[in-house]
Amino acid sequence: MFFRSLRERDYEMTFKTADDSTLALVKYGEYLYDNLIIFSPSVQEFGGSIDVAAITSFVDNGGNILVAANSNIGEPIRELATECGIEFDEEKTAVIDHLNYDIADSGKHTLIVAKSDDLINAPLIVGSAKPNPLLFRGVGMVADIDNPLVLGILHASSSAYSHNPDEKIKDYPHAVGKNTLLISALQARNNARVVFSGSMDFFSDEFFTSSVQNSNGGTRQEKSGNSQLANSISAWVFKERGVLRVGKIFHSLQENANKNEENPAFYTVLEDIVYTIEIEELKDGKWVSFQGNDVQLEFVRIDPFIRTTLTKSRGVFQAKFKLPDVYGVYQFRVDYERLGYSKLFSSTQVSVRPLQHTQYERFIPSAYPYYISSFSMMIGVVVFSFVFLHFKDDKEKTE
Amino acid sequence: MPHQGLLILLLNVVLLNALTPSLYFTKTDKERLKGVYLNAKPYADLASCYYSVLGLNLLGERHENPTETCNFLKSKLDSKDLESLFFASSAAKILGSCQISKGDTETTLNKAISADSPVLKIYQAISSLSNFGFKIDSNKASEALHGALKKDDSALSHGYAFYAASFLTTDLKKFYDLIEDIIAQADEVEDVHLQFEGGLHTTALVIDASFQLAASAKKEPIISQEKLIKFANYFLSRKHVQQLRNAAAVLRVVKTLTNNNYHIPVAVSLASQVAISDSLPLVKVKVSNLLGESLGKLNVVADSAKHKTDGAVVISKSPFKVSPADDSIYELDLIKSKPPMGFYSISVTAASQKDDKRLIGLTGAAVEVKVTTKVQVTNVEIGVLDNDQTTAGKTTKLVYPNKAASILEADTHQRLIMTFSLKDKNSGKALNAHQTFVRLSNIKTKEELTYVAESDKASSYKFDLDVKANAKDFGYKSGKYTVDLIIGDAVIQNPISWTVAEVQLSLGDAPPAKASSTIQYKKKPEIKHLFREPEKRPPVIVSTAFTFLCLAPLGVLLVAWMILGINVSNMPFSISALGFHIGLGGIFVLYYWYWVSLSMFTTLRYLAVLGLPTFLFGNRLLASIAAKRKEK
Repeated sequence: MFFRSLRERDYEMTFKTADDSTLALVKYGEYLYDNLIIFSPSVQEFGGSIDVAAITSFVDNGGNILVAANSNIGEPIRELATECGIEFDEEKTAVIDHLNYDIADSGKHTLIVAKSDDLINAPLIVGSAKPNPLLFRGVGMVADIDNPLVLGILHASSSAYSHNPDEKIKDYPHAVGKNTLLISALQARNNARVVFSGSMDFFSDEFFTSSVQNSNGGTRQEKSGNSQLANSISAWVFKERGVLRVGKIFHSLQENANKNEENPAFYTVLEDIVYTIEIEELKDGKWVSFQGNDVQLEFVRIDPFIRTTLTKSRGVFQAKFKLPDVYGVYQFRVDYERLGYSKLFSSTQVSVRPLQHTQYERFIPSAYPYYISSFSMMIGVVVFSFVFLHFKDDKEKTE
Repeated sequence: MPHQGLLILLLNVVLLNALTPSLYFTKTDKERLKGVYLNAKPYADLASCYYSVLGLNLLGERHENPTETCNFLKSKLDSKDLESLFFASSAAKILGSCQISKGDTETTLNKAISADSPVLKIYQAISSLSNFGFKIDSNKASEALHGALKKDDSALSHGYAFYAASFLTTDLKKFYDLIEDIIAQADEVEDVHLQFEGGLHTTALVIDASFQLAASAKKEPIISQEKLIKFANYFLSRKHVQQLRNAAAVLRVVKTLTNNNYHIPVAVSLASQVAISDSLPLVKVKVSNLLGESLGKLNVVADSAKHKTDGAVVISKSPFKVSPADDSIYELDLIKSKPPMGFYSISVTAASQKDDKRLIGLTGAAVEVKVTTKVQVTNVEIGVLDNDQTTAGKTTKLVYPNKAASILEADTHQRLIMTFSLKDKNSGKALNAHQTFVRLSNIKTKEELTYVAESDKASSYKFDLDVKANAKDFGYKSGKYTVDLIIGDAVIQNPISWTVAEVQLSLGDAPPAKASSTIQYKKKPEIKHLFREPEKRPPVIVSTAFTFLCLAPLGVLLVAWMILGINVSNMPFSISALGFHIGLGGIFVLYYWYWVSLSMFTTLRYLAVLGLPTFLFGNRLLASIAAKRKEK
């Protein structure tokens, strides 16, 4: 059902077993696929030319991956997860929750019911409608706290833990309580997206269609929320949603705002300018103008001098501000990072000049004595020189 | 984003304990399949119509609105196209009351029966002929099939050939003998599944066709019981299928496996909950065919019930009783034999009372149950101890589910200690639980920290938190925390999550934090540039006063001259004199404009224009004045 939903969304799918000896991601230096789904938790070694390094470089080149594991998790998948800042628990362990398990559980309390409240608050990733409770059976993971790019999409309840259900707990379990991630995601700095699910059954037809009831006093839901969440997550991970791009950027003096001229290369300090940026979002396969209201513009010379929120007008984002009184080379920088959206970064360089000699203030009241004295001197020179040159002594006349 | 390449890597391991099927098509499975068949409406083409009609018929559902479907078949039928004829005639036959015009279809169909056509086409032709009630030339068909099989000897085309052969009257033996060879080509998966390359559709088709052919040949199909059970396991593992064609194929083969004269696999599954306890002492086992239907009276015996970890056998050779409600469900009271708690594997053997030879997979079935119990927390003590204090400090005794009345306080020189023990509520015996966690959660920030309470001796647990050593885990966030005790285990019926107490933790000061590189995902604070303040200027009145003061000398000069009277009649009215004075005045006017609006460069340009004539005129004027003086 999961793959069918993908096919309905126009993906060209190629199925291969993970140990197929002809596996390859790259052919003649180009990637053959845009996205990769790895539903082979127990694989010990990938076939063909694929290994963890090849998959990581696939991500480095912008490929998106969806990985599902289960309690038979093998070394390559764990390694791949570690590369992405996620640590899976050991083989044979499972997420156990003695307080939130489904009535169809086989006895070990590993078929857990995850509440939709435990989902990350990011409608772009998990969908805007709250799904029904989710069924999960598989291995737990924890996120590397030093990796700021990892997102915990679904975490377990506070009474859950990850351990081998058949062994006594001697050491501190790998993951306990809300730290236990059931589904996690990574959006790399190049906007490549990777999702790890601890449960492969999560995507199975069985879990998609079965009913959910928490054994400890839960109400029965006819259908689990799995299919809804799986579709949302797959839409996010394969970049059908939450992708932003920058369109045209205009900036000019405010008085020239409507003249449609090319962006000037420089401004002078203290000028009033207007900056306009087009931001588009991918929605249902089309680029439409982005509806956010919290996009910020920074005017940066090493440190930001101005940071202001862009206002939306006629489909574009706009900011009007006065340039600082410090000259130098600046950048208009829009750096937009929000949960679920791809990272948007745009920077436009512009230089800001000091005032020209004609642009300084000319009529300073306190300098009037200077002005007047010089002009009076000038008038004096004109008049005096006239008088001096053409003076005719009256005495001479009288003589 | 259309047409993105997507590579999917798959590898899955199937884990099953016993060979005998432990699944069957439950009511919900059938409902779901019915949904799949009904979802095909409105039909896109004849094939989906056929599969939908076939599936609904196999489920025993009455087809709603058969005339509409019949009209659809008629409207879509292309009497020249074999495939269209096949799907339409097959669907019409199932619908019963639907008559499709025969026309000259017989020649079209007979033409397709030749060794040059693929097996599928021959099968479709033969089947259509039979649907329309035409005579089939058995010898010709048999020859054509053999010829076509030589070209394509895949399992799938053999499956079609078996179907086709089941319509024939002669030469069945040859095809019948092929069954064994084809079955041998199936691949085994993890010892419990058998499938053909090509997946569910191929496998279902080959098995169903083999039984169909065997029925026509009136001989038992040569498939070993073990293999057939593995095939059955495979079909059952795929009961969640959603694709219409596969859904029809799998139901068709399962229906055949429940209703034939030779082999009927038996499914043994647990009908009760996995957890067995005092309140629910019965282990219920459903022994049925693959569609969950009763197989008549059976003797069902539990050979043994074995504890999974220590291997202790609690019962052996205990017969199950038929459930009064449903004769395919058999019950056994396990608690009567007082088993210790834990997981048990019960191996089940069934035998037909009427000695029905068709039933297979009667032995070696296993169901897994667990015996659960209720847990009781006793001897709970919580207290705060000084680090250097060796003797036990003051502790508070608590009884589940009450919270400690007073708020505890602990600082970095102290330890928080809690002890408790667990008991089986029924037997009063000590008990070990898998999960014995103590959770501290900050009331304000909702952050949680979980610790494992360790058992020091049998079933007595101790939780010891050195506040100073663990302050870092708390992020040095002093404040009020709740202490919760979580007890859970797979065999515990009543997991406990109990807020034991509240504790005020003073965790000391945090060491200077390193700058972290977390992403905010939030609006950053706005920055407004602080413009440099203009310098303070003296009041305007002062400068105005001084302005007048500066004007004064000029005024004095002019006034003085006015009083004295000036005679400038010496001035010659020559061009040079006029030019010089106007030029000089012009230069100063230019200076004024320079101050008011002009830039330096324009000023210089104007100055050059003005300056040169002024200079020349001035020169001549002075020269003439000097000459005048000399004359005197």
